[in-house]
Amino acid sequence: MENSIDSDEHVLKVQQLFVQHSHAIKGFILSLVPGFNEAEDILQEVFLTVTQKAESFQLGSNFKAWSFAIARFKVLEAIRKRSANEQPLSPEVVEALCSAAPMPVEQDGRLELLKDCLNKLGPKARQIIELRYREGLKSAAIATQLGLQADSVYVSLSRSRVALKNCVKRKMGGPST
Amino acid sequence: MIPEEIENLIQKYLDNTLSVFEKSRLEAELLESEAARSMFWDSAGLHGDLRTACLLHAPTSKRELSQLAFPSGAETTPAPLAPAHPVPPTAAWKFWFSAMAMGLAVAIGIILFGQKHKGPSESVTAPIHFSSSVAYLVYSEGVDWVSNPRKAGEMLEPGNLNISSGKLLVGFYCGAKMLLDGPGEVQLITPGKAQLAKGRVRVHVPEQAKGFTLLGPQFELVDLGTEFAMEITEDERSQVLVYDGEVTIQPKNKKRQSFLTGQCIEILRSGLIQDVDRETFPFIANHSMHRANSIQRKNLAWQEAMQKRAKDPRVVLAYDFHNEVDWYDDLKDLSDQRHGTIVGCEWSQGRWPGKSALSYRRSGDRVRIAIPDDYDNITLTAWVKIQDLNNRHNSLLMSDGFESGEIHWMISSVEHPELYHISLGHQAEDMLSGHTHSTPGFHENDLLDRWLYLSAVIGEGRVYHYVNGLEVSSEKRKFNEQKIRIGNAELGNWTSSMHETDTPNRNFNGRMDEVVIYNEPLSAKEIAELYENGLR
Repeated sequence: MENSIDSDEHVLKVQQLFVQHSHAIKGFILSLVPGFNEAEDILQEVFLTVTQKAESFQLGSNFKAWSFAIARFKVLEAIRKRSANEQPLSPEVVEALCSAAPMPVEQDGRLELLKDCLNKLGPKARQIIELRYREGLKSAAIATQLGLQADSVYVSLSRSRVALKNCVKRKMGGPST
Repeated sequence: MIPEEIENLIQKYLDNTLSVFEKSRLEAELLESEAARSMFWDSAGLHGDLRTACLLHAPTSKRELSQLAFPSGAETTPAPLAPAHPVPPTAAWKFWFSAMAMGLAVAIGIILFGQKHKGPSESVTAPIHFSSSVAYLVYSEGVDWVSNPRKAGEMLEPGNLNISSGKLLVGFYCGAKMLLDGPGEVQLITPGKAQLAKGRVRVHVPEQAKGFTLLGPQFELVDLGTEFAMEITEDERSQVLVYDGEVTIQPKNKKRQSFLTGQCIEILRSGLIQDVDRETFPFIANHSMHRANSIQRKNLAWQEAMQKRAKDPRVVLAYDFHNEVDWYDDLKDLSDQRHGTIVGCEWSQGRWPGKSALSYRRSGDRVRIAIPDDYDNITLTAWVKIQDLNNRHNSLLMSDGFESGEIHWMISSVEHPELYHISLGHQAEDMLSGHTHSTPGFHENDLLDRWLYLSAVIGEGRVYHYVNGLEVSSEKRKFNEQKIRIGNAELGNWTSSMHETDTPNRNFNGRMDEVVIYNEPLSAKEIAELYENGLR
């Protein structure tokens, strides 16, 4: 009886770790599966597996490394289910990318910096970013809504992202590209 | 490849706009070059961070939101404004955070529960499907399409609906319903947003769709519930009538203003808003109300017929699954003799909107009944919609054990794994001899996901099965002298009277919205009539 209470508590602790790190895990998934809703589905599956395998995780060891390995497996599983032209990237490329993935770092205030950088975007660019990332619209839908050409939405998105990336890097004290 | 080129391909990848050729170029580069992989993680990492940042720091102030709608720096009034529409991912994130706040255990239960009914096998084998639709076409009436004709029931992706005459009812996924009274042209943008180019619409916005946004040529209307109409004439004259509730309107470069029930206004090209005479606003018939009325009439007629039927002296029990349920979950017998007890189960929609049904999903869901009398003959009838046939035996109505006279009405797959027989077992001698009268085999697709009227009759010398009023089998009754007894029994499940723990599940998976039992054999004609009267 006591054992099962211990084990419940252990599972709960592992789940708490998951919630704590879920931003990072989702970010990792979104890198390899850029669609928001699909990434959300995969995140849920990672959560289920984390719960099922909680017993095998030793508290105090590296949770991020452990959960990222599960996420990587789940991403590959999801990608393999799709036909080649529906895969965002082929499984081989995903494997190659994962073996070169930067070691997940602990929360480094990146999101706060990003928020500051977002405030520096011009109003139109900001609006397009918000429609894309908050409302989850695709560039074609954003173009329809704003009465713009799809191309100009794409150009705006990609310029904003490069600018934001450099802005965050500058703020972190790293070199910008 | 130069870094700019790689960056460009990565950016396209993030927006899913890579051509097949570009994708293979990017993939080759990522496989070969470490620098490319490092760039990838940089840029793709920002993609995830942006999603998180935008969801976490969603603009909440009025000003921020209106700047998103018209980023012109226009001054706005501080009225409360609902977010444009509830985006599922946002809700999901809110959920994660409330999970942390309110204690994980409960929240995790919900997640697991939500996942469970997908079934474990699905996560391994089922393909993933994508849909970019934002609404569906509820119905169309006398419509002439200018371009790209659609059919009722069709899912609608973002884009134009353009008709020269007739009426369309569009159901947005957010819950708003829009009636377009042709001629007119509407552009669907998201599950909670559209643009009226020309024509007139009447829009109903329920609580859950609050924030539904309709764009005009030079303004944005946000509905705070519940109903309004808008007309844009050929010369771009724009009028709005608020039938009920509140809407806010923000002309381009102007303040947002609020309008309440009964107000009828015109939005001038200059951005000024002025009151106009309500009588000049065209009448747009409220079709959803008309439709609701016809459903209500159907419901009343059916309820009356059921009440009448319950007075038939041959009726042993009549459940219409349509009544208020007491706190202890009684299922009311309309003949007032043998109320059932609901264990588990959930209420859901029955054969038509407004008609309820009991949904059995979990292996413990059941309705317990007790019919202590013995009968010479019997007729069992039920309206069911089968979701899945995942057990060898799937109970419709089963006596608890195998005592003399007891019956077991079920759908079974015994000989061939892909064939299902509707069968009625009749026990002759306690635990020892019984006989099962079965129909020929049905394929799963004949039985699943549709409302079926199933009837089984044990009559003088013969046993019959009917599906949707048609006789599907007729067989000599094996134990003609043996009385029929239901005793303690279950709808949609089975409890072994021996209480063995190793009995395989026999639970029914689907909905029931009518069960009537008679102590006489009904004729084929009567059963066909009951079927006809039970259709929506």
